[in-house]
Amino acid sequence: MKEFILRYQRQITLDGFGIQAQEKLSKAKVLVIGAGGLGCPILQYLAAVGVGHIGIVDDDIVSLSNLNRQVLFGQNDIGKSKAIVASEKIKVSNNLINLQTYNIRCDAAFAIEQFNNYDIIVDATDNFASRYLINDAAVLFDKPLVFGAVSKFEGQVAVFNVALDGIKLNYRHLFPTPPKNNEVLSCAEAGVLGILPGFIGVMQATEVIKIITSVGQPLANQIVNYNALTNDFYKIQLTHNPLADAHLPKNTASLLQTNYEQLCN
Amino acid sequence: MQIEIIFFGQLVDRTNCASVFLENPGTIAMLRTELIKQYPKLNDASFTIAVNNKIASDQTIILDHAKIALMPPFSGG
Repeated sequence: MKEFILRYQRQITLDGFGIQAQEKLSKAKVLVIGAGGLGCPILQYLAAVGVGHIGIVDDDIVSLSNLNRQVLFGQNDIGKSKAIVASEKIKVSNNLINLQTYNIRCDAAFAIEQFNNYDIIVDATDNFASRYLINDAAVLFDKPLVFGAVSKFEGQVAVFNVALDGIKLNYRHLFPTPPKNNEVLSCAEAGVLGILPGFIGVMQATEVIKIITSVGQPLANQIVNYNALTNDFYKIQLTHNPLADAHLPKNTASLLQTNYEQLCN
Repeated sequence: MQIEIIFFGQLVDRTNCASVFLENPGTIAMLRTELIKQYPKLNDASFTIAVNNKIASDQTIILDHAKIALMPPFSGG
């Protein structure tokens, strides 16, 4: 208990936060999907602030071109599992928290098996197939979803499935179906400034903390666009899109049957 | 009366401008047609449209001096 108080003293001291919010963080279970550009800062900060149980999902390995933005990894990690290296790196930062490492891809079977074991899902992936699957599974299992995505010098952050005025909206209310294949260029194709996912990932971690502690107002039913070149933040309020519901799987069987890779090709 | 349209993300690569002022066409559906006429590369682009920071539908009537935002999906992480 003494270590708990000392370690989190700067947060416990905060007006409106205190020991109550800190204890909520300790009890929280957060699943971070993707340990890349967004995932690295999310994992570092969620571990540092004291989220008690963190799941890390990624099936990818570290490559040289990741190192401009995936700050948990070093040159010696090239070729190693991102989930395992990320877990080892953040483990040494906080021995009061539990980590669960999943060196696999988040598919429908994984979501069905694991989403109910967590309080909040964080989308830190890098492709539309994963993003639509995670959104649909989060709706199905009624889990708050903290979304983040980047493109070149810009990023988006949103909070889905968190009730605001009794209404819960999700990614499909923004974009009911995925864009056509190759329409939106990936980071590999269009490029991304190294700090950008760091910035957006930190915003996602902040939203996670707000949802867990009920301190502040999470970005429920809203999306923020950040432009690093102009320092412009642009906040947009989501509205109910009648097309969204038709595309959402209604049960686990339907989720399993949906071919997300094909939908996004 | 004019309205301001701003473009996010890779839409800027299709319009070659971050924002533009246009005469108010009336509704979002009419604006969509007008934008595609001026920027043909928007025709096969995915985006959602917000009017004064709120997602609008094709039927939404645009009031003068409205600020319109076209936001595409981002995939990168």
